[in-house]
Amino acid sequence: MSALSRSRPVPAAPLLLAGVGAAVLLGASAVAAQETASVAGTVTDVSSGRPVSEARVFVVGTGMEAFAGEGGRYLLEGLPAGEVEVSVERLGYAPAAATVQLMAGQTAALDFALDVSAVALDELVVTATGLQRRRELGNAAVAIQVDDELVRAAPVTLTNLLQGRAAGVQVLQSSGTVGSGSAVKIRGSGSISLSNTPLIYIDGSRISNSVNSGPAVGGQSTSRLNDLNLEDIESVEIVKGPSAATLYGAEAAAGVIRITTKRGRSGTAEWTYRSEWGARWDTTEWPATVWNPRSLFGEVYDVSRLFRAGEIPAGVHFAAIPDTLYSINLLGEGVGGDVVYGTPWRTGIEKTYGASLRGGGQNVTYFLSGELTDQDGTLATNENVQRNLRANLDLVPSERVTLGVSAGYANSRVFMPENDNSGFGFIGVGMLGYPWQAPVRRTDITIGGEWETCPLAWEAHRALADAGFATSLDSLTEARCVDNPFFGERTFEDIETLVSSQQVERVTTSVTLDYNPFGFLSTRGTAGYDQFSDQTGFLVPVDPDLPFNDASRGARSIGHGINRLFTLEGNVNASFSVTPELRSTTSVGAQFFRQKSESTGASGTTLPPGATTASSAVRTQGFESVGETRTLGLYIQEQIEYRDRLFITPALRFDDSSAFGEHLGREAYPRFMASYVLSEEAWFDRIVPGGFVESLRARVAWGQSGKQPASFAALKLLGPRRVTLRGENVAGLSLSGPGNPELRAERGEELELGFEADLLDGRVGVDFTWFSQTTKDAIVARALAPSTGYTVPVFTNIGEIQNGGFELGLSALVINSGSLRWDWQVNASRITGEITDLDEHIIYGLGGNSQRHEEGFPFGSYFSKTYSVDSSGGVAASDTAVYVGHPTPELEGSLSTSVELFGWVTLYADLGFAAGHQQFNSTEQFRCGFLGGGTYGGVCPELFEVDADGELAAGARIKAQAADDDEYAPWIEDADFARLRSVSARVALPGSWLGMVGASRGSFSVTAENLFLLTSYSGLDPEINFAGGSQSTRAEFFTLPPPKRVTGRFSISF
Amino acid sequence: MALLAGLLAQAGCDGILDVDEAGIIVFEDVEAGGPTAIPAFVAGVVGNYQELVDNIIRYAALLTDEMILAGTFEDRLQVDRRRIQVNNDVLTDAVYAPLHRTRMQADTTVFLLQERLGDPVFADVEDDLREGIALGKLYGGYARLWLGELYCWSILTGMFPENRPLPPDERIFQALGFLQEAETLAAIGGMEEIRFAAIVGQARAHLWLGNYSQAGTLAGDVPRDFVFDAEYSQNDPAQFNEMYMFTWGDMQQIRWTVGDGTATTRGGERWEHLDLFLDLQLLRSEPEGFSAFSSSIPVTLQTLYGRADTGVLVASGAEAVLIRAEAAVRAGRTGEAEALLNDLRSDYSLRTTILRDVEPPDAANELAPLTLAGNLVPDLRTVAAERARELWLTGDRMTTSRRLRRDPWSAIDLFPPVKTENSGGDDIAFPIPRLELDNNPNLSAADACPVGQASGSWR
Repeated sequence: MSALSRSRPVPAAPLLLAGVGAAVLLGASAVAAQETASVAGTVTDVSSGRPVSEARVFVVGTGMEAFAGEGGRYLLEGLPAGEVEVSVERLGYAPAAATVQLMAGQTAALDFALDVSAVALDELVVTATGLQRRRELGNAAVAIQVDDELVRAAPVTLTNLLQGRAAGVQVLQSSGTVGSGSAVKIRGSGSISLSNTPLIYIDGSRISNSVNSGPAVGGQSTSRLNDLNLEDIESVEIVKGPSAATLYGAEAAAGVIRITTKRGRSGTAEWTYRSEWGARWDTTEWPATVWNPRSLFGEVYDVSRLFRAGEIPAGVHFAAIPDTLYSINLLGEGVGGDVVYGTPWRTGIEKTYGASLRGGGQNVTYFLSGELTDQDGTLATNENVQRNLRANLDLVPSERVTLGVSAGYANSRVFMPENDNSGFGFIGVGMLGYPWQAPVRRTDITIGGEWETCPLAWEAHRALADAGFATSLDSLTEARCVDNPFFGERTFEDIETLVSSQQVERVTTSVTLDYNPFGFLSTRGTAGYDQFSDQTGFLVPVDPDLPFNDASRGARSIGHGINRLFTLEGNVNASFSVTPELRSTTSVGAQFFRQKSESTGASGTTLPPGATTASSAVRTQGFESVGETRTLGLYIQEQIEYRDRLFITPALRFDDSSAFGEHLGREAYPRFMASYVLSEEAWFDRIVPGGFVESLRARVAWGQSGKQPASFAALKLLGPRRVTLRGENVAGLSLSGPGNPELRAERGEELELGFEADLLDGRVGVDFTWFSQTTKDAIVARALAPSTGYTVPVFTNIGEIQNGGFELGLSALVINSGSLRWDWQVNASRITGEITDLDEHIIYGLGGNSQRHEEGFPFGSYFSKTYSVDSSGGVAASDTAVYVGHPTPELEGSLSTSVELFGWVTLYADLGFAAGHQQFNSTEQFRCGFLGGGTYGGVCPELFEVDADGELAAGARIKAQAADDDEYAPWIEDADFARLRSVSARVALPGSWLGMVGASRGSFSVTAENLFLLTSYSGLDPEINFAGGSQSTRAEFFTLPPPKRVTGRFSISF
Repeated sequence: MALLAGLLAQAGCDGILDVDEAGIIVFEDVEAGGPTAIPAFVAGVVGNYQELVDNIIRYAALLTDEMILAGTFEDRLQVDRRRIQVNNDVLTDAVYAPLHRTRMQADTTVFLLQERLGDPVFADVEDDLREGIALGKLYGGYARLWLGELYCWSILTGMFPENRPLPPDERIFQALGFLQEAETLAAIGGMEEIRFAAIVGQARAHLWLGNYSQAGTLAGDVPRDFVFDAEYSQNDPAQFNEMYMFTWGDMQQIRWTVGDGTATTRGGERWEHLDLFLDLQLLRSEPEGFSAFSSSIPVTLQTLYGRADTGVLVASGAEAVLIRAEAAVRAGRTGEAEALLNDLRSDYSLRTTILRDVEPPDAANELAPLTLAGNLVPDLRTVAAERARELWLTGDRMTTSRRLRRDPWSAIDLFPPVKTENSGGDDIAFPIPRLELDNNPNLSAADACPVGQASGSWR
């Protein structure tokens, strides 16, 4: 907010929120204003002369601050008379400071002209011990300024935001379903059987990082990360890997994401209103299902099988009888170009309305916001409605005490469509449709009345007879033609009657108290609480005409869950100068964390007409479950600082947890890191030519972190079993979990080296990190021989995983003139990983065997048989499955550019890319196997590829064989891609327009997403995953691809 | 706050890490329950068997000509086509794992209860302990019987571990021992139901082992109207009869149906006794509102299990009579066999109506007395046909078909034709699944069945 914008009284609502105490403080401040002074001025870019907005201007050594407005203007009020040092910070610029003499009751003028700087060494970063300057850290620290990204690319969710904006952060997309979640990994997979999702903190409170919840709809799931309103977030900081996360303790080996929400700012209140409208639509080129009508004639079912059986009539090649092939495309062009049944697609409209209020005095600041989002998916049963409220309040009762309160509320209701691995999925019933049951609106087919519903079947019969195939009219009757070509004879309209929903209410709060009793001593305590309750439901309405057999009489399931996460942490920092050049900072801290989840549910079948509750059902069942985890950690850290340029920081953390087992006691995790700002040494300028390297910092970090198993993983468990005995229902007990009393926590260890450099007068920034991490005692869910009587795996420490690679961040300010500013950003990482020790391989994945964890291979690799064509044209399969690829990209990143014209027009484009990985195209494998493998006699086009001689191509023969087999190498494909993720244009509204309505700033932007995809992958999309938010299981399987999306966003502030 | 948390920890406040254990049950909880825990353990044995047996029925029906698959699941199709891969997860989850869990639960329960015999704490429930032990032996025996009858060979781990797979005859011989112990314990305790079930099991084992005379003699001790069911319940989906669920009762399209010879994609498979069963109202053709995944699959639904709580026959006097009849046929006592079979036929419809709520047939379709030919092979076929009706959808079709095909004297093949055009094979047994092969140190990848066998020819 501009300090010089039109003055408005602080509204009553925030004052009420602040409470009586705050009001008293404000009143006291007003009285004191007569004896204070002010500083006002403008912040500009020294090169272009353009104003710099959002720069933080603050008085050094106090909590007094203001932010530059749209014209770069700022006003600092309530300052004590006398000499003060005023400093300015803004990401992308070198900090500046000046001293000014203030007279009581007067306003001093002080302008700042900032140098561009790609690397901000003095940027404050939130760490486990509190705020630290980036120059002090031995790790790569990434901070995403959310407002900047919202304006550029209109991300919808936190995972959208993380995509491509931080090297080393991998967002594993899952589908184009509105409301679905994506998995997030940092620096690869360090754990085989435990979660690789980073911990999430918001304003110091740990919150649920679940990315797999919601109704069972075949694969996609909702993510609790989606509950956050991006408009409420100031910044997102990413703590990568075990070395950075050591002080976060026993569950942080996968990294930490720290979210800081927006806080109030002293000055007059600023209202901001925003609205967003958009549309999304499906543009997938859906493949047609091709049918070989010879399947109707007894012994032959598809071309490939004919070929293998040597039953092709002499002189007949498949290319020569194309008339015998028929196709339908129920998701696309219909039957012969006639969309007989309609398609399930619609244009998904989305609307967002939000408002926020930000302001405060010198002692109380506040930020309030509310937002309503309503998004429709491209399928009729997909919708997400979300409401978010936030109230953040900061009190400064004295110079030594600061109290911050954050409170967020989210309420969402998502309706999810069936897809992926569901027999009720839109994609599946459309792609697996039966061509021979499709009607055709043609008048040129003269057929008997009894066959009017099967014109294709009849026409096929005649075409085959003409081609010399013996056919039988009797066998045609066996097709039992009906006018319904959908898989399972379930139409899109039938499926649309199914209702799968999840309703979530979530409250996330934290209270942070900073108390600095002495100049050398600072303390901070945070208490945080995150609670979300969800209601997940599924309903099959009562309708005897639906093709759901018994369930057409109605079915309902409902589940309620409450998850509570409680965080209590505190730390003390003592800092003093040992000598004028040497400074010591000692930090001691403790953290207690408790997570408890409780769920209950009921389901029932056979409902009376009109009923929609499980309790109305004839048959019902219920369930209840409870789970809890607690951890307690203590840490100590010592930072030695030499001349503010060399920092050496050893640390040690101890953890204890609720996990049972004699080997699951206290764990100690050490860390060492060092940072050295070489460019500030006198000798540096002598070595490096002046101006080429503005700043250079080298850093190193080594550390360990852990991951605890679930509380009861070490115990041998019994499970309840309901039993009917002599007509009575009795309670039984059955062997359930074998347990492993030898279980230990797994331990991640990491070494990272890196540097940051500011080149060419700050126009080019380089941030490079090399890292190598090892997970020892990796916990593996080891399958047991079923003959043990146990069917659940036992957790065992039998693995070791190594991940390594580099991360590169590049930024370049190509042009920075008064009318044009053009910059480029590159974020890229190359991460490779390998399981280096595993006594046995673990086979899993779609189909039960498509993926493996195996020693010597990357995490979750694809394994398959291999196939070859011998000299006689036969196809041979290898006896065993071999490594054929892995699903996680080795190279991943983004390339973005931004052009700012005349200071009011901004154009932005973001290209994401990934390479060095494979994707299991199980959609096509299943389609070919299902339709071509003898089941229904159809085929997919891959099985018809012919070579120059008109013979079936070798690739087609192999695929035909593989389609019948249980392991499918031909459908595991390279999945390299480059996607134009977003293109946007933003126009800042002219001051003259804004002035007419009394506004201080406003903008309008248009963003288009997913405009272009470059890939050789032949499936629906290289980024989708049937297993939703799963981090290890990946395959495409009748999964909804991401749609194209266009949004317009309008924002205005008063 | 840091100091507070640190002090809490260091002061030995271990309670701060105590968590709610409501969601788990450990052995110590049960031990603390003393005698009151005994029924729960015993019920667990029964419950595991209940979960097992309806699954066995489903897959045995697919492998034989009793039923065809009306759905699309590849793993199930493998069974229907009689070409079963070792990585058939559905078969592993539905049959192999529950079978071993039943065996382990039974053996573990016997061990736990035997430990408590003589313990003064359990003096008041000594009868319960003995009944539990007898039931444990009975179900341990039946589980072993199934292992021998359904699988090429089998291996045990956990309690009573083995270092090599046992062929069917050895496994069934082992089962015989358990069933004999069950019979003895039941006789001592006056537990007639357990005793007769144990005898039927022994007779079944002897039949497999070729001890026909012993089989017949033992079966003679069982009352003709004896019935021992696996019970199910309408109250809870976990206790539903899966045979019912996969035909009538689930929200999916029906997935198990009876072949009428017209499903070309199922090799035109036809249930040998289709017409008879339609007459007996054991089948309903094309019931309104029920469809398969495609209209090209016929819908002919069984009526034996018409409710979610319909019980499944585990052992019966009828089976004992059939065993006696086969023993008589093999001994050349044709008249005796004929009388036994006709005795069963005389009130078949009535018994079915009472036991399984099957609608009685028209009077014209009632079973008439039969006449045996006096020749071994046709008469064994006749007995097998009687078994097909009396023991329909109990898993017996697969075990009898396999037994007869292994019998060098009869060479009767009741299995449906090899469906080569549908990637079919000639499996007549289930292999040890890959999950076991991969995780059992006493097995290698090639040990799914004895050497020389492969998918499509499991024996």
